[in-house]
Amino acid sequence: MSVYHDEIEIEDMEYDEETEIYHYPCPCGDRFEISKEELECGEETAKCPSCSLIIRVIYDKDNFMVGEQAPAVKKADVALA
Amino acid sequence: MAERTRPGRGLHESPIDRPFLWAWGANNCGQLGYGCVCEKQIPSDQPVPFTLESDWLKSAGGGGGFSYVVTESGQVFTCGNNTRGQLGHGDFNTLPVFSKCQFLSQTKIVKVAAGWDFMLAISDAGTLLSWGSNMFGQLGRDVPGGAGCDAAPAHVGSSYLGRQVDISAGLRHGLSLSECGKVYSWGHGKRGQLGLDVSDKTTQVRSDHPLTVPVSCTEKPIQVFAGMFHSGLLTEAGSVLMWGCNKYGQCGQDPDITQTVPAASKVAFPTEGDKSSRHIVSVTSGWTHVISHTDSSILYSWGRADLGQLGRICQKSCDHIPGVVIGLSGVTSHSCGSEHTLVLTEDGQVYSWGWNEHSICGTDHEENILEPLRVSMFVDKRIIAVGCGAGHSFCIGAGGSCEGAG
Repeated sequence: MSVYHDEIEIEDMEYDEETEIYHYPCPCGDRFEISKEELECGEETAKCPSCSLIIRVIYDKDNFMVGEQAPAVKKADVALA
Repeated sequence: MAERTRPGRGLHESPIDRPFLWAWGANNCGQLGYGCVCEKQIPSDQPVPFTLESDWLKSAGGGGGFSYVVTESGQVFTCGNNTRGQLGHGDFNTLPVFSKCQFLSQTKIVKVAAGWDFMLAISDAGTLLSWGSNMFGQLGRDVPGGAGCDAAPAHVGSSYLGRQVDISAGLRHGLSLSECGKVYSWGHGKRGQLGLDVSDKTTQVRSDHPLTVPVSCTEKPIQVFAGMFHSGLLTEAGSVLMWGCNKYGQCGQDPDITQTVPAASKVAFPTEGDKSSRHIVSVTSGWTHVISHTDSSILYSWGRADLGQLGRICQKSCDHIPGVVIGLSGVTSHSCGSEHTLVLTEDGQVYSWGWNEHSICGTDHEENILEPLRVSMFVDKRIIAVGCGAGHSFCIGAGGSCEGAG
């Protein structure tokens, strides 16, 4: 496992409601991605599709338990956070 | 270590008749302007295709997966990722070739700055414009319909700001400087990058309009600069003041003591040696590292160091104390990408260091560059400007083997 380039709180990521993916800027110009589904499985590594860098996503796993209805963070909340 | 021999060939033999643009690094959104989308591109003899009629290339740079070029006559060209309207064309179509911003064709733009997915610009009249994402208030103005972005450039503030002379864009925030020396900030403020009054919790987190940054220093600011989540200014007297995220010591304070610098604080330069060597004349910032040079052409770096960002050997993964980058002489300008740096020297040569995945530093390999390395592709050319996007690089040059191309 590579070293995490950064540790980012889920509130600081942007959420795409259509694809159900959380995004965060990657230094290469692409974006680190982690899906809501991955978060529900307890995954905490967001990967960039274009480079080798990875970040650790800090979030409350209880908010993403399978079966829960709403995602913990919506776009509007992120903008106001 | 960089070669220190000056390249003599061809420098003064051919007149500067026509400027060329070269681009390299990550190209996942076509941000290099070569007309294609690919994982990466190393520097090649082939200039970026550009059609200019009686105009010159002045500056180039970019943000996350997109790029800009400003010409001498004040026209702006953009290409790359356009999902938030950051290209300023009034639409959301990603473009792999540079295309002129028609919205700005009646305005003479003198300077632009690119954030992650938004842009700022100053006109020759000193007015401020913005376009692209406004998810964090980074456009500094109202957006039609309250949308999260605006693909059409529009004015910020107008009269109350006065004449603007400098701008800089962080990842999600903006800075500007007025002629009378007032510094303004807006956008995302969660890490203290807006430098606003700590008693006002609302504007600490986000400001949708430019607000004055309180600066206690009496020296007049002459330049502003922004990193990922930090901000700074340079004064006429050559001092550097910074505020915001200090996780990697990028604000010049010990991160073991403070990870956030809430108000503009002077960066302390090493005290040994001649005092004149600490008169800073220019500062640029990467996401988490800062580069500056003095009136005697000495280059300092501080901040994050784990990918070679500082261009000097560091014992730790960051260094908050400005240190001299050796192996460079006659520095005229520099530009930082997210985790790399380009430096231009007076003999028209380009040096690079830092994170080098996608060959961002201009080499034919992808190992990180820890100390200044002359970019070999341009040794027979005279480069007149360098610029960076997050993970890609540009230089503008003239003469050499590319005459007549493009």
